[in-house]
Amino acid sequence: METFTALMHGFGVALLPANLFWAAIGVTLGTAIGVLPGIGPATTVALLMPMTLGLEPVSAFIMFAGIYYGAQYGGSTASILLNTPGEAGAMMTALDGNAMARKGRGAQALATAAIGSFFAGTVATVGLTFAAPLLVEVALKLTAPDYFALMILSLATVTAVLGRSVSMGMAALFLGLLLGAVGLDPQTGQARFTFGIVELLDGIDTVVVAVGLFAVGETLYVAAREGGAPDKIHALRGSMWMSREDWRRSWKPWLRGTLIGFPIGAMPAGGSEIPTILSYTTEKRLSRNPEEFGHGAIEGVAGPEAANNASAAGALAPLLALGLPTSTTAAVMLAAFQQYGLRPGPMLFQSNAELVWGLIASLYVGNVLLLVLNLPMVGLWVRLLSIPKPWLYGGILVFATLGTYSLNGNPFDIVLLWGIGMLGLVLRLLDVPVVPVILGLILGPMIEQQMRRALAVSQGDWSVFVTHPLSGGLLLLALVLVLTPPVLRLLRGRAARAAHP
Amino acid sequence: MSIKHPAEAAFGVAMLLLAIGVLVSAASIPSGFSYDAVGPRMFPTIMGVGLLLAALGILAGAIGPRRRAAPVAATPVEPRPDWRPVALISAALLLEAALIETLGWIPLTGVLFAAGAWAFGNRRLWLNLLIGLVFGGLILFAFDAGLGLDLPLGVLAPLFQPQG
Repeated sequence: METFTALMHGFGVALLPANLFWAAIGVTLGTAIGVLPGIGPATTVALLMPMTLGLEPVSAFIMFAGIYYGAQYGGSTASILLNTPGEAGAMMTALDGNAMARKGRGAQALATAAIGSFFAGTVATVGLTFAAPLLVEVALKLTAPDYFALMILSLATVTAVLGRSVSMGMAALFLGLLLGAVGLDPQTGQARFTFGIVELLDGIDTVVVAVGLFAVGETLYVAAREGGAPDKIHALRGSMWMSREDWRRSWKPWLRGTLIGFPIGAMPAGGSEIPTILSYTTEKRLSRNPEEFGHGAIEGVAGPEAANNASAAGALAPLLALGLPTSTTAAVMLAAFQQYGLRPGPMLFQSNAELVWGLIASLYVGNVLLLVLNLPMVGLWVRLLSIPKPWLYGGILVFATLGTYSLNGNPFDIVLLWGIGMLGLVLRLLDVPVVPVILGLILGPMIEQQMRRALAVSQGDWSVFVTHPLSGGLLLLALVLVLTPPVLRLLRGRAARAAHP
Repeated sequence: MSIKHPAEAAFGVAMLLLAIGVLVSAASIPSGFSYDAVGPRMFPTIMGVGLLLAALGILAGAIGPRRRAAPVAATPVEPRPDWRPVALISAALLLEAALIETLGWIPLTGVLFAAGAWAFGNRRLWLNLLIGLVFGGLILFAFDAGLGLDLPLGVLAPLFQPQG
């Protein structure tokens, strides 16, 4: 009941005309940027962050919720019509979505994605509404070693799961941790890795890294790889509505995608990649015509899209309740909180209840706005998709420098943006995953703080991390996760050699 | 012994050098106070060791005998990256960083937009410069008027100063 009252109070905040206005602006801008090829939700949120700087925190976060949902929707549009998924979570959508578009069923693919996202987003937000307060209860019992172990587990999962080798993932992770350590040590005030550069004393902004790695890195990568060769866009033709058959085939995947997406999104497992893959393979296995998958099966769009949106809402639960980002977008959102001097976590529910519940309520509102604003405007978004590449990437570069420069009004940040963009290019060329860099950057300082806090309490005794049952268990799990793939590979190699001497 | 993946080997060497740099740099951080059990040096040292392990892992994967009888032809050979557009975009970004405070947001946005478009094969330089200038102008007015953020006016500043 208490939760319900708090939520109603949140709706009171979210439905104020001014906040509704910001939510609508957020949804529209989020879709407009998110629809651009290769730009995922995390990049969109990072690029649009400066737009919210002049607002009250509550309004800013309501606008953020809109941007976030808009970007998800825009991203699926680009995946379906252009086959350019902006981030890992949209990859599965692109498979069958683009195949449907090639067959002239692009409108139905967009519709099942939009309605599935709406359904999954709403159900998952209900889940978030009730899970977050429970998680806060848990969070209040966690001690420094537990937090430390939880974050280590989160990084271990991301490193082990993404990319093709653990060494490459580790390199990306430690690069991120290193970027996060630049600046003054918050506990002793000692400068670390600043090389006498004054601008580095405050540390490197997450927004600069996110925009550099994703927007600039992607631009440089596409320039170096394909240049200006135009993408093939599939025009929408025929009926724009889903047939009875489409509905019949979509509703179960929506439901299953939601059930898969929400809990996995809330776990420290690196965001939407795993749930979307899981949803896709589940639908394929349950389908009576598995051979259709890859050639335009509507279930292959409906399920992963629902899973993607549900996991996005799921990721907000640990972010709000524990202050722990589990996906790239959540990491960027955390940066936004820090911009306002707010620290997500159990305390935020008490000190800033209006903001937290206003944000949660605006997730419901944003979802509805998205459906009513975007379905009729789909023609406009499709036109945005057909901007020629040279102008598109020229514009992305302008937005990237705008976002970076307006953070602090310091030209040095543009140099940093370029450097991190080059790092992003190199990582992409070598097929090194970039997500661990962002999570390392944002979790690094938090891990160090919890580690030092735990060791201060234990007076320098490192065994606290393993003698606490929870932290010990989590660390063991992390170790297993990191060691399993190479050990499996070793065993498989040995078995293969034994089979073929 | 031969090198399987030259690019990966180069990345491994770079990571190795970075790891050594981090370890050396970490050792020179002054230690903290006695009540701080760990001090500001410990975490950077752990990172140095982590980078070192990653670098060794990458090198171990990149150096070694080429796979025997591997069907090399089956894997599509990726085209070599073209570094010219990368250099052009880099130059435009660094130029913006160097001159944004003197020349202002609008002209440098024009240059950046035109450079980006050129890098992607659109060679209509004057048209693109014009689009970039208008684009930059629109952003500047939207930001300064609507959102209360300041972008530098630079050389255009005198136009907006009240007379006298």
